[in-house]
Amino acid sequence: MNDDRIADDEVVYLRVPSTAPWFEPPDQVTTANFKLNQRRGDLGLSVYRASLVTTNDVLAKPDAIPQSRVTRARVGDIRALKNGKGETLRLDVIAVDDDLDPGHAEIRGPIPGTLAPAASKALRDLFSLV
Amino acid sequence: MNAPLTLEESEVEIREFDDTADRVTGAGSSAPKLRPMTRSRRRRPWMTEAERQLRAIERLRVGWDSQGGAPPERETVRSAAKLLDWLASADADLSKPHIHPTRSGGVQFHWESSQRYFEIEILNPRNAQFYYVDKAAPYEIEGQLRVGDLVAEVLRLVRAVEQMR
Repeated sequence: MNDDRIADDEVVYLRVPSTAPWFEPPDQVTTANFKLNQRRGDLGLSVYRASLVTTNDVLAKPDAIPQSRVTRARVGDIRALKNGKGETLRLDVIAVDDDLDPGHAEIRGPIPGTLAPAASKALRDLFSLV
Repeated sequence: MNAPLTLEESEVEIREFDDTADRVTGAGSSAPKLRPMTRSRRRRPWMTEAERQLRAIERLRVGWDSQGGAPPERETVRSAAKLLDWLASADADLSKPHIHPTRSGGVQFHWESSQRYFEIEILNPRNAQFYYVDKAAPYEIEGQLRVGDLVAEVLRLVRAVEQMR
């Protein structure tokens, strides 16, 4: 496993499900898309580096359900995110790719495995649909 | 096979919320109480859509989120429905929240205006967590609660968002 820091000017993609009955208005990206799977013990939010994969690659990953969408954000903007009180959220983006999942990276909070609601909200506001 | 989910079927449970709120706040018989729901109450037009969404969430399968996530358990969805029904019955002007499943098997409601945002995620049949932010203040608060406890506080935060619409 490779734990490298990613440059601020890189862009990352995050895949979200779409055209499902709970989306309203259509294609709205919500904070639920930016929360960790606590049951699975996620350490961070899965994203993919635009420098290494295309949006089509992201949509072709084995877990991707049909009609998923891709959102994007700049890594430096993720690191600069602040909470509602103007305090930095101390988010980072690190590469965690391996041969089976090239380009994979994670957005992590200061405590791996924990992402504050304020972080999920800030990420939702930052990421935009491709 | 289980009966389909409807918000109306949770009416009996709503009284539990009222009782709990009194216990939590220590309110006596003379204290103002939130209006209990009655069967004659007006049904919000948006409830049909909310029911449809909750039924869809109830039918999700593993991997629904494109990340291998597990779907919410049936009782979690029902607990969310109870909470939403209680809120709607306590505030005639309540607008429909956005409704989403979460990757950890929860159900989330959120209300949003230009400056304020409030979300509550029902994590399981008993527990929920919430987050409120007012960007103009600036102010934010987050916390956990038991589903049914402090519902009045939840309603206060929802109303704070609604006032900014």
